[in-house]
Amino acid sequence: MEYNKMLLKPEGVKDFLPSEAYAKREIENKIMGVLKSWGYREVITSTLESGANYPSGVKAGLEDRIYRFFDGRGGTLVLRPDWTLPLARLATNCLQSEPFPLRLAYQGNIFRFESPQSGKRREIFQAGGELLGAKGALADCEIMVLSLEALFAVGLTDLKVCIGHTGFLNTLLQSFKVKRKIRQAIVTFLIKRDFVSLRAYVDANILEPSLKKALFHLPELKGGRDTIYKAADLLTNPARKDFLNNVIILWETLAQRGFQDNISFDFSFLRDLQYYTGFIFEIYTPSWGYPLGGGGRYDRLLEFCEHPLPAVGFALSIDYILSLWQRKGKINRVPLHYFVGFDPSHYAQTLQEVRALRSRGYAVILDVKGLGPEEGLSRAKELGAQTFRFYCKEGLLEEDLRDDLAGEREDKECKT
Amino acid sequence: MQNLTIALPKGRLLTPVVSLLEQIGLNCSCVLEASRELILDNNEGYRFLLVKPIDLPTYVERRVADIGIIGKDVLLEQEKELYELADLKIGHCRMVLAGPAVKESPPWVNLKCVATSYPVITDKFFRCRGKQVEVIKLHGSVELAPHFLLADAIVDLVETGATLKANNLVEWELVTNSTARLVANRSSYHFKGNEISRLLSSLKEVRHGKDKNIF
Repeated sequence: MEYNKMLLKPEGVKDFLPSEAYAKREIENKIMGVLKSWGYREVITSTLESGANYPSGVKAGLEDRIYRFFDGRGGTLVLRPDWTLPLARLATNCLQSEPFPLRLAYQGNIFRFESPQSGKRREIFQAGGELLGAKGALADCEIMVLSLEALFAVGLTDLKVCIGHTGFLNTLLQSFKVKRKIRQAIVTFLIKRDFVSLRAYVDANILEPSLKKALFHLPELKGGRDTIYKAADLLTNPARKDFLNNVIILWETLAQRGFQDNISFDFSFLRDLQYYTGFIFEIYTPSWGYPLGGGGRYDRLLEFCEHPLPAVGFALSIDYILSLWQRKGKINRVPLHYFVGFDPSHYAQTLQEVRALRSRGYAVILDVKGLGPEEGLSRAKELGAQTFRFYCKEGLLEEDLRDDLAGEREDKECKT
Repeated sequence: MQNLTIALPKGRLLTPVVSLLEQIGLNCSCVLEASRELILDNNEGYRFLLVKPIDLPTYVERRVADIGIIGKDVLLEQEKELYELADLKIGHCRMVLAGPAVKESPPWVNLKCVATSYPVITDKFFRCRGKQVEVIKLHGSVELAPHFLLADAIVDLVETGATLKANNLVEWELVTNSTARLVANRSSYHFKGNEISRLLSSLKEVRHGKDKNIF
């Protein structure tokens, strides 16, 4: 069999056809609009990051999924695999003199290698915000609420924020002086959501009966306000008190804003990016199998450099939101308000009128093929224009085509 | 009641899985009576999907089904983003490294090439022992490979060992044990948490008499 001669798209990336690109831009604008209204200023960083910022290693996680290559001098570059590090870099290198905390927003693509035919894309689009230089429940709360508001803005309402805390498990294991190697293994099982292996491992490696019991029941620490107390009771003072204060304040701040029904704590939940130090969260909707977004606190990411700073941030998946829009039939033809034809004798007048329409924000196509009124009308219908206009001796012919469009189906989508 | 969609694996696991579900009071008669249908409603709030075992993790990861029951061997090979909630202790089988009888110890010390339907598990098994081997992926009858020198050994599932014996192979080492696991989609785990944990605790109850440490 011979292949057809054609131009190829690399595996794992997507082309956005006009209607999809239009919807994607709309989603991004809505999310960025919310961020802007909360005082988050957009920054743009390069798709390329220095390879030195992403040391390669044997640790499972992001490290083995990074696109890495050489620059002209033999140093390494990566295609940015996340937004957190570029923004932290920018904040510490370039925005030192600004008053902290800093509120920054971003949107754009990131790259992660995924197995072939896994249904996952290697170029993914995200939008999000980072609050850098602020500690405490109010800052955590701001980021969680902001991510919810951003999702509300794109029409998603049935949302659940699943909140965990990386400090909880650490404190629990440290209070029993559990060895580093065992702690690491437990964390790995939780990141993989493998409760069966967790149980078997704990059974074989943890001797202290009360800790064993606590870890066996870890997956059940899931729910509302009372879950916080159940979790706290596994800790001893002063850690218990600290934890309780910290988490209850977060719960109350969220409840005060009316989000108590949207939040659910889950103290067995960990995220695979290991730089988190406090709260972590993921947002789900019932009609989608993956989280739409998530985030957390990472106070120690910049500890190694001269200006460590506490920070909390979130990212939303534009791709998943777009897929949900597609399912809901919200991806429509790109609006075209006018298709305008003209008789050559009336070219000057036509140009003037078209310029006026465009300046009022309408999308206007001016015919370049010299179509007559009938051909022009059928072309206008083909293009899905809302109105057809024709300038000629007889004056202005205008046809409203919106009724024709009403029952029309959405544009053909381009599959992954 | 909220609907729960359960993916069930066609093939050797189906019968024990269905009988376990019937034991906890889930009406599965629609599954038993099904001839060619792949989507089955029991009209009591449960929908069953009959899928090929190797595809089951994909269906659950993508939330076509909320939960599913599948062998650990399949989960180990694919590493999907799922919750692995319970070991149901049914459908027990062993994955072993097998080859012709040899004198070396360990028998795989001079091994270069292994045939298997589980390349990920095989690669990991050897790398954990500080060895890298060439892995040849076959889709069945892997026992043939050593016979025709396509590979030095195989990694495959074994229930009784009869197939190995019939092909003049001996078990060299246990790679892993496999039993059926209850898995859940990430989103369903949060949105249908109550339904899922009810199911989980009935499963625990039913198995309680036989083995207290099941889950």
